[in-house]
Amino acid sequence: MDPQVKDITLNGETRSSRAQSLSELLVELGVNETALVAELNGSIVPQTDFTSTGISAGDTIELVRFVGGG
Amino acid sequence: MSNLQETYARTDDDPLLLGGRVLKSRLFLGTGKLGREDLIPELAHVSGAQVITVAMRRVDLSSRKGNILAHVPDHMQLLPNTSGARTAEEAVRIARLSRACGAGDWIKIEVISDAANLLPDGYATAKATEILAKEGFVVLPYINPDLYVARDLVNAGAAAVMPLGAPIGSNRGLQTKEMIRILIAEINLPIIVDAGLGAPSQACEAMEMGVSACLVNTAIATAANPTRMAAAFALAIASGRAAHLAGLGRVLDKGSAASSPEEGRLTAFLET
Repeated sequence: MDPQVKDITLNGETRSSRAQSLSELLVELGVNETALVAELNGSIVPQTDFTSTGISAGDTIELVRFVGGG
Repeated sequence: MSNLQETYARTDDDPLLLGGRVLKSRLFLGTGKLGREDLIPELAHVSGAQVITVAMRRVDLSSRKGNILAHVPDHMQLLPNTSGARTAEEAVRIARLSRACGAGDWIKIEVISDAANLLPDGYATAKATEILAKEGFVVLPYINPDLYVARDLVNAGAAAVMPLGAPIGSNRGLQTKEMIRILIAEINLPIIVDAGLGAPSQACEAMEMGVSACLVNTAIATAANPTRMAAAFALAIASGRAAHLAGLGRVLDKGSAASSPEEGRLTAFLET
């Protein structure tokens, strides 16, 4: 197995990723959005820190954003 | 409106002070259930609303939707909600995510653990309010119109309390009127009716009673013409506020009272 490939849990689902950082993960997912925020293993990561925030095997990541609501 | 109407029904000399902002509009606009998010600028424009709600959700990796904030005019105050939270802890988590996402300090606390009735949990709401107020949030909790919960929220540092008028999304109107009347009398914070208002007349009645503002979402989003309905709510809310400031006339318990003078009637004159 490619050592760069690791399993992570993203938004409740397990998936394999080669991304080394949250910003690389967005590129891998094809997500090209502003006004996002992440939770990495329960800690909040603002989008400005996505590039400097690394990802390891087994990480639990939530990627959230604003939608319509009342 | 004519110039005279504008003078006497004006609301710009009667702003709502909330969270450090001076609000001329007492209509808060919700953005759920809108068929098209690009309607938001038009709804904001015709209604004059200055506060607008949004929700937080996981990024949908299977579909590409635009960023809703791109449709929100810059001058508007974002009011993210904590919808989806079932506990105080989840509400706190969503509020912190919202602030980290650049939405500012305002947060509408919405904690609902009963999925069948969608009624807010007052105890959990008060716990979340206490934590978030200490963290510097402007906390607007959504509650059942319960006096004791509202008092807890005052002590917890809420900026306003937002009682429901009827079950959320129901458009059934101001069913909780008598309970809201008690909050207006007893709670020294802005009372903002949130949920249930289905028609402008119901929002107008709430404003006449003395609530400080109304949050309207479903009634506008599900109207045949949301833009016209947004304008209609804005007029009704301004009208109700003007009536409240004017002071409603007295109500007779029984009987009647002629509007024209009893004295000097023509027939009486002829009889003498």
